[in-house]
Amino acid sequence: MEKRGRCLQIASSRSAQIAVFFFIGLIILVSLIILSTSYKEDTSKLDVGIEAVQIDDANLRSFVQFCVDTVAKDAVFYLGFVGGNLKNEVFPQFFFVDSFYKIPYYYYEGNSLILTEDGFKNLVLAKYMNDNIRKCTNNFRAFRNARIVDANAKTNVEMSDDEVIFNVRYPVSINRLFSSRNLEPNYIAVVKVRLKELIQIAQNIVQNEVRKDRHIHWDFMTDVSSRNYNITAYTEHDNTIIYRIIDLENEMDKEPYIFQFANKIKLKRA
Amino acid sequence: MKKATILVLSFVLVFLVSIGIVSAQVSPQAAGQALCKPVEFGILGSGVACSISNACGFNKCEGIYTPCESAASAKCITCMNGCSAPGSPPGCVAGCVADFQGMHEACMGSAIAAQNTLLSSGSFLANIVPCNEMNSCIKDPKRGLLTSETMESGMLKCPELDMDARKKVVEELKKRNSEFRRIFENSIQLDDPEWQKVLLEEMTKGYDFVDTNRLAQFIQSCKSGECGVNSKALSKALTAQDSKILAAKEVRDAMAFAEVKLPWWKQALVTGNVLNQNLVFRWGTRIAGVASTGYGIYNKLFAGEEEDEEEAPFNRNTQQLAQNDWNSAQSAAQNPQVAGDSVWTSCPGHRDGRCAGQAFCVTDEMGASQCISALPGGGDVTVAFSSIYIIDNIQKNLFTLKGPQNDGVVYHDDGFVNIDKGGTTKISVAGIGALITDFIMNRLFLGRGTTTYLGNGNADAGTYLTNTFILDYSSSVGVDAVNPTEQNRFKESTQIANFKQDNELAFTVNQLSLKPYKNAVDIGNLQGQYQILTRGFSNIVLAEKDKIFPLMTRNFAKGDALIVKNKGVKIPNTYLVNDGNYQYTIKTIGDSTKVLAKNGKVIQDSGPLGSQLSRRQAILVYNV
Repeated sequence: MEKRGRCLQIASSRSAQIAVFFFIGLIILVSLIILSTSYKEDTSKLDVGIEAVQIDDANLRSFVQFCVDTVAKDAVFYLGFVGGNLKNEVFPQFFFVDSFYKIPYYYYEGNSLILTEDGFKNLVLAKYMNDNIRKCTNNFRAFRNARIVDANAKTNVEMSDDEVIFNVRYPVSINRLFSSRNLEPNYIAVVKVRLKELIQIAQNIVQNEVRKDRHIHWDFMTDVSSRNYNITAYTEHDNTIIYRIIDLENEMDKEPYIFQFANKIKLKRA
Repeated sequence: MKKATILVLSFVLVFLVSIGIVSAQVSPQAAGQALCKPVEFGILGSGVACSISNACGFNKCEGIYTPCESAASAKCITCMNGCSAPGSPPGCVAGCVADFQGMHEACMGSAIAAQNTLLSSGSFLANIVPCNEMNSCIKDPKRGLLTSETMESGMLKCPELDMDARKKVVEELKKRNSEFRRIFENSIQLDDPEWQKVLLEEMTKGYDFVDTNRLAQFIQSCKSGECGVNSKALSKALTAQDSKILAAKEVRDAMAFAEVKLPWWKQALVTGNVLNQNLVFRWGTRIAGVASTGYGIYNKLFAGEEEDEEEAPFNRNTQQLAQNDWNSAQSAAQNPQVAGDSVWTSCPGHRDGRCAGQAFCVTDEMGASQCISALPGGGDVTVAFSSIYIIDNIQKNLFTLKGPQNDGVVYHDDGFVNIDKGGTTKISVAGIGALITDFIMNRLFLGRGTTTYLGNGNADAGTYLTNTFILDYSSSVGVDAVNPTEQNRFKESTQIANFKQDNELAFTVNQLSLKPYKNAVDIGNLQGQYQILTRGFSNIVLAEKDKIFPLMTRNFAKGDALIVKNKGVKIPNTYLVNDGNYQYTIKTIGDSTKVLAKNGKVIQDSGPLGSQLSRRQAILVYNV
């Protein structure tokens, strides 16, 4: 009985040793493979010589910031000029200048289609940022010697009296050799334009339209114009009046900012 | 005692007769003188017309009887003288007397026959019938109809004619033809107070003058005589006259001189006859071109497809009120129950050459006046009274004239109706519109509804108070009143609290200031541009040839989205619009009409936005 027990102990110790050796061998094999791979990447980067300077976080953040700034300006431009330019339009009705150039109806035969300020911020500006930031970064193809991973952006837009502020959370990570580094994900873009007031002006006009759409409130428009805006009601076909408001205090790429929208008047049918 | 007296008297009588017979027997000459004496005319006995000195035909009777009787008497005396000759047959005297008696009867018969012939002939010539017999002649039951010769002979001028005789003449003339009456009217002395009294009474009972000149003379004479103290009688008598007679110019002249008041319904009939003498011109054909501009704009704005749905009930209401006015005037013109007198005047100082100094004007008790000669004839226009109503049956318009300085309306050949500077003229348009000029020759189109012009004598002279649309042709500016609902939509400005609170719009031209009404518009012609002053509520259009540039006032001047139906309109004039707080310039620049705020910025454009984009915009919009 005692002998049989000693034999069992010997057999058990032998199996454990084999397992330990197998595991160590596996680790060595994997390490060799990894080492062999990383050696190849470094070699190619050096060979091409694309990055005279080493990619650092600052460069990548600048790149992303550039995109955030660009997309923010575009978002604000598109909002003012054509009501957004989103894949799925926020506004249900448009006045078509031509097949590409279209202006949203904020008032349509008795109904207000204009958004609230939050609507403009979240449904138009933030969404545009979220939808288009990755188009700008373009999968970071400009940074081919690094493996950069990003995630969907999340944007919060704020408006002050004379600025639109995009707070963008856009996670980006850089992988080097055995290290992976996440960039600071928060970006801020500021567009100098009085969009908050422009939206209020448009809302005021639309509210009055809903009340009685025959009136073009020259008195209100005069008051607006005295605050360094140009505001004009243009006469279009299809019972449409287009209001164009130009912010003369701020320029965007050396052009004054334009905010325009269409109103369709409810008239008796012929 | 009595018997004794009778016995004595009988004795005396028998004695005297006996003496006579004896004497005759004794002296035939003496008996002839006594027995052949002519029977005096006056003692022929009662029942014989000739027996009364003032009886009709007395003169005629006497003219026949007296010579006849004298001749019979002479013949009798001669016969008697023959009886005194020797050998004269017995009973000679008695024979002479009998013959004389026969001749006397014959003379009397001839005279009475002549008198009866005269009476039955009715020919009471003045040289035959003396004036003192005329009353009897006229009133005698046997009298025949009056002859024209009789009247022309002057018998009706007899001062002795009494009232009953005169009345009987006129009564008879009512049944005679107009020529007879004309002779009568020319045969009487119209300044005779007795005739004046009779005529006043008989005219009221149905005697119609035939000769308008004589009627005119009668009116004037009467005014100086009988009617001077009884002017109502003259008015009453003339009211009973045929309207055609009164419509004659000379009669109207006289009525104007005598200040004759006629009730409105009679005046309406008279003016109707005057109107029928006027030229006919038809608005629809002569001025269609001019009117179409105003009507087109009016229709486009307020009666057509672009009519504001909220304005529609108001417009319908104002139009219905105007239609009611017109209907009321029409029924008033046909309803003699409404009181109200008016007089003819000679249109003193009237602005129209056809009227001034001519008795073409009717003036009501309140002093408003209308020259009938200034209205179209042919039934196009009717004049009615209580106020003075000019009812335009063709255009379905009504002019109501009030006030002591209102000389009424004047129709012009170009279709415009000129209203006077005085009093008030209310224009109720039940048709498609009215073309109006005023004393400063503003040319206006009035839309369907009611517009009242306040002229001199009113606190706000020169003001049109309207609940409808007015287009001023010279400035090409149209204004329209705004309904109370729309006015209530806006909180009224405290600035207008002290003004007159009429919902109507106070419209003026060239006053260069606003009348003190809460809703007011003034169009002023400045050098090279027009100034539109506004207060309160109004709709305004600036007219181009085919399109309009609409704007409005809702406490403040505003644009009108109806511009979408007038895209690209290019107005020909420059306008300054001032609502008391803001001022705008509206003018054509380039291909469209622009509204510029006082700071020079364009706030409205009748043209489109345009599709030209900057390079950056194009890149972003078209992705190029």
